[in-house]
Amino acid sequence: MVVLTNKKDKSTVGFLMTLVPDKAYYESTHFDALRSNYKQWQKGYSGYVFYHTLDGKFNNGWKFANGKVIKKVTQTSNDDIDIDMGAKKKAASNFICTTETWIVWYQTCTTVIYSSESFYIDCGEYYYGYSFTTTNCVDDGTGENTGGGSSSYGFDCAGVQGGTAYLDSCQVCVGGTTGKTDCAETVDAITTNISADVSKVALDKAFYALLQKCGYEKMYDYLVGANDKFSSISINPTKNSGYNYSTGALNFQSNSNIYSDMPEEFIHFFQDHYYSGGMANYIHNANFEFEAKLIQDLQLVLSGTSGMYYGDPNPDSIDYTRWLYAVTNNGTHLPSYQELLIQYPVCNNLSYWDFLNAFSTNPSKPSYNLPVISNLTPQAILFINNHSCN
Amino acid sequence: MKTKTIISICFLLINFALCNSISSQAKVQKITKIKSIQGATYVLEQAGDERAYIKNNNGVYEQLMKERGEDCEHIYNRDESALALSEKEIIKSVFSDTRIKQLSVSNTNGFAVICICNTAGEVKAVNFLNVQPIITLQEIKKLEDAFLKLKINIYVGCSKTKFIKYNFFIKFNKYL
Repeated sequence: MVVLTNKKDKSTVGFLMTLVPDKAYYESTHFDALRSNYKQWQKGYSGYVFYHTLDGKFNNGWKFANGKVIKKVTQTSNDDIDIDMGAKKKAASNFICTTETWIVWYQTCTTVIYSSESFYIDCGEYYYGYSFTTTNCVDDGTGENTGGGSSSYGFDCAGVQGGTAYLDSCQVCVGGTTGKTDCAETVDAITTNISADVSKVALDKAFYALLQKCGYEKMYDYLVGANDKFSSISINPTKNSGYNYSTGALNFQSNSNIYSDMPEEFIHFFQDHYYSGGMANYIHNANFEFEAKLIQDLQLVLSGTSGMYYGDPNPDSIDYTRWLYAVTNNGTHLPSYQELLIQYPVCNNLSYWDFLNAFSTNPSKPSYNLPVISNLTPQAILFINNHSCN
Repeated sequence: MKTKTIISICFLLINFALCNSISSQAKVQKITKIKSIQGATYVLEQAGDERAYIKNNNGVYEQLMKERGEDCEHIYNRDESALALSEKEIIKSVFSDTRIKQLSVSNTNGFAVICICNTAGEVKAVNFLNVQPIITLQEIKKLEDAFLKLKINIYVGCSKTKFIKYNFFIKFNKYL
């Protein structure tokens, strides 16, 4: 049971909070529900939080993954409570919903204390408490938002009663007391026109994932600060995804490609606005392409997450992978340009220009067999390095 | 006499420069060891530092790399949080909490696990990079077995790709 006291008028609000951890989380952490408090979840909490009124009626709930709200839970059983959580709603056809019935059991425990240091806890059998049915709806990624709103009753996704926070299209709890911005606004700030065939949800999610990493966030801030925007974002199935520096337009081959291709095209957009005179000022070269891939690889190593290394000029060798770990001091440090030039014995004394040259002549990627401009230093990497991403 | 002196000085200078250049070159010693454990044979390569590149000697990794097809760039993990959880489960299935604490102190820089997956995301071969001697071969064997059961929810946007390289970065302080 949670009792909240308003410090100003001393009024109190009471409600029941139920934690149901995921099986995997439970097993991996030996979860102890009592270690989580209202709005102070155990580190990395994954599972459900349900709120009930003191008379046992279901109020609302939230699904957490790794300490963050990812879904809301609403009640759909016959004794439905007429509540409006006010989170952004979408057309029903855009959700895949599953219904689950939950049974909550109680156990009465008695603590027998012999002394301040000696006691034992005696718990009886579990007995039936109450049950309820919930529906989990997951966005299938094809729909668009149809409106917004705020909660006038119950708890918002930030756990604030009557709060106005809501889940945005990236399934992130924003607004209200969170201090976070709806990811749709993130895209709008950097784009002039989005064609109708582009999945806005896919675009929002791709940008949201991108800006979780320091380097991309700094580039984004630079571009927004300079009011630089993509002239358009569109889909063209007949062309590979790409940024056109002549027109400022961004094309994706399909909506499915937005998430995978966004980081590279975003970096090209940044290069076009950061390099003196823009990309048009240079011949079509391998430098820009390799730098864009190297930034992605460095960001991946620094974030400690799993993935592909796109700049690897020879996947049969481990030299490039060894080099990424060497220049980042095993994922702890974004290298300066001077550090990219260090020849590490563990990777056969190869360094930035060796890998760039190998990349520009890689027979398995003929589209990148382009000239190397020998005096063109990787300025986007230098920009990130100079903006506290270490 | 004057000419001889000049030639001698030049000889000495050239000799000095050559010697100096030879002595400043980094000398890298590469050691390859072959070790067997529980029916599996591993090749351990150590080049110039104490961290090793360890691969199973069954040749599967090399074979799949030959058969990999197009090196695709349109790849992403559809469920990053699920994979992070799977990674954690794998580590916890191999290392006890006490061992993880020990390694997080002594092995803070971690090591890399390089997996070869098919386009369905099933891991088919595993190599290990930057492994410090504190990690035992038995632990490597267990890690390999555990990673070979992993299936990554992956999107591969290239029809000619058969196998991809997918990298994990094992930092023990992530799993505390």
